[in-house]
Amino acid sequence: MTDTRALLGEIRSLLGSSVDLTGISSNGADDIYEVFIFSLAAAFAHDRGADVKLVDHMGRPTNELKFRRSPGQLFARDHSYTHALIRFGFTPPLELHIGIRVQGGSGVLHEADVLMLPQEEADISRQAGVAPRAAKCNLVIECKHYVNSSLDLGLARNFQGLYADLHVKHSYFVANRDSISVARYFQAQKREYEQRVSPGSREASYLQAKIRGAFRDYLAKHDPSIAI
Amino acid sequence: MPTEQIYANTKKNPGTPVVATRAMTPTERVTQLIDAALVMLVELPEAEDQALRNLAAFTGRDDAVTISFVSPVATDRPSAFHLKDGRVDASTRDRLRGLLDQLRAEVHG
Repeated sequence: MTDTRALLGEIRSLLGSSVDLTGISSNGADDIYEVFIFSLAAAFAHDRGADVKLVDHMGRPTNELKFRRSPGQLFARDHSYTHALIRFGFTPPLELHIGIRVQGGSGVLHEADVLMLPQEEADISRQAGVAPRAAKCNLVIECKHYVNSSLDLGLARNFQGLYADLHVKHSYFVANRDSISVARYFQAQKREYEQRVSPGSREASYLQAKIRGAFRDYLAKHDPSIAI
Repeated sequence: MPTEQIYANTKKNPGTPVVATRAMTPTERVTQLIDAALVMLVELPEAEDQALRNLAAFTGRDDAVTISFVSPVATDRPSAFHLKDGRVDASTRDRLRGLLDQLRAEVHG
């Protein structure tokens, strides 16, 4: 049998020497998780042959990436926020954003943690100063990062409400933890979800397979000859 | 209503979740703490490193990316948060994951 005290002692010595969690609050953890999911979507497109660029609000390539801490308008220019510009072959480009307000069928604005939409719709938003229309969006991902509790059923109900108004076909609920109640609720409501998504996990690959569906449908419309 | 009855009712109406509350056992509480340590010390730094690595591949530049989160509006939260490479290096993460797994096994042993 392993000596529990020895295990704890070893963990303590590791924590003392080489761990730096400076500045990470629960909000910081949420931010990290959102950008991780965003990077999975962008990396998938890149792996499948898309040209992926990280650009600022003026469309200029940047390596100083800036994202929103809380949801905001796509057209806002208070900071030069970054988004990914994704293009397969000669198809019209797509934009991938973090923390964007999007207009549902009711006209009400909702928050999308990760949102993908055609650049054409994003340009309309920027030029007219209006939130993008959900009906034009390709992918919505709701990201939930929890440290010391399981997922609350209320989160699943909220996502169901979000889907009912946005009606984006590829809408996914993604979390680092799991919950039987949440899984049963989504299964009954026929909603797509992926739990226990963390770096290197099988679930991260499953999520990328779901994201593939959004790209596949877009390519089927614009250039079905491109296989991903 | 007895638990069996609640369960039976659920089966008649698929999709109705049953939420029961009770005090956690010491084993469950310790397991939860171990899981929380795993998330904070291993998974989150790993997610941060992977995001930085994934996104650096798209900049087309040799220098590394910096990632910051800023508030669109004034809030009581800190206005900016910066992602950091190597908060917990890969070998330490692997070691911690192994130790926490062993600890979990001990608790359930």
